[in-house]
Amino acid sequence: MKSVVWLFILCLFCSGSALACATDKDGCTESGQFQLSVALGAGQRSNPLYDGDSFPMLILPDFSYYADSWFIDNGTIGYSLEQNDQFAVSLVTRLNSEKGYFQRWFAGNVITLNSSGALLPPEVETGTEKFMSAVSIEHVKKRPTALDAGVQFNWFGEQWQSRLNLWQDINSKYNGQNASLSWSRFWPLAGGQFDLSATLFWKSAKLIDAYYGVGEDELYYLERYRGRDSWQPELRLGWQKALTPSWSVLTFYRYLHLDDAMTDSPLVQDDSVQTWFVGMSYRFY
Amino acid sequence: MLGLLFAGNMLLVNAQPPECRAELCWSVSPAFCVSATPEQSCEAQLRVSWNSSKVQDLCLYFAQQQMQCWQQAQQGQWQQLLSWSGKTEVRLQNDTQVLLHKELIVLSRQPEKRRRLVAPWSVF
Repeated sequence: MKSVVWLFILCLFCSGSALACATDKDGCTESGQFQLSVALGAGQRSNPLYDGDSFPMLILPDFSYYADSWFIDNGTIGYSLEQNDQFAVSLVTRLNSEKGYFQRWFAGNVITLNSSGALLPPEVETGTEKFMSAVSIEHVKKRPTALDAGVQFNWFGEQWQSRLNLWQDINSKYNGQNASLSWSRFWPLAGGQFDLSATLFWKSAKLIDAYYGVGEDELYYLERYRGRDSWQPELRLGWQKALTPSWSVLTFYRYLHLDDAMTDSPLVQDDSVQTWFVGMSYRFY
Repeated sequence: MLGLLFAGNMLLVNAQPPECRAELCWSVSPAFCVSATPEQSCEAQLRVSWNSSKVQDLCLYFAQQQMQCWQQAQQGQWQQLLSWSGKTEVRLQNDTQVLLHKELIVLSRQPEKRRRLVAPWSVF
């Protein structure tokens, strides 16, 4: 039944594509032209998990290729069913980003939750029912690499744009869904462009369970956790200023708030993920 | 032979070879024009001429608009200064069916642009 509804919604927009960007303005890209920019600077994305490494961001790529209907843009591959000056609807796919928190960048790091270096935490005592309440990512099984696919709606205004994404796991790694709704506004500021974005993410219980749950198949002394639906609001502030046609100053800050469905997990230490970057970008193509 | 004509910012391609269907032949020019930007429309003297081996009642349509009709004629000519953008159809038809049709195409020297649909710098 769900598939029929999806098909119906998509067919409403199956009338082909039209020129969507008549003038040369920000947010437009040339059809058939590969675009690559690289930013060098300082920045990082924090990791909310116990023993999770912050992700250093010294080199940041931005790439896209748009054909008439197909596109690849920063890891998202899509096909636009309809696009005009105000609206676009596209079928999209990408790797789910949740696994990124579980990657370790330094292979030498092993189980080191407590300062003593012991394998078991102090609260685990022989013959008791106590569990380890803070669980390192090193203690749990490998998390899956999930491929999401879904539909994306874009709305464009003069100084704003909005986007709705609905995703489904299509390689049966977590068997769930996630969605996001974002709204961005742009202002000229100090010779550059300031942008403010607010995004609300929804992640299904199955997604949260697959990545942040601790099931019966995990080590016996870990506290168990069954995932619930999670709502995660995010705020992003950015400022970019072109110095030459190729060089720009790029800065941004993102704050993602994690709700109880995340922080109740014994794997999760912080209730936020913060990302920042300050640097210079160079456009190659 | 194709003829090239510059009109303002537009390049017009004139003198298309005649196209025929059964006993009816016509030529339409310009068949397409090249404008400076995608949003610019074409303004040109559109010329249509046709001839047939038998007498016919025919009407000429530009987009959805009837431009000229001929009664019991074996040939006809028509021209008018018109403006069009994007793909626009010209057709010759009788009471019952479209006998010949042609798409007038506006091409642009400036590459088409698309909106980026994903946030820039969003790899991580």
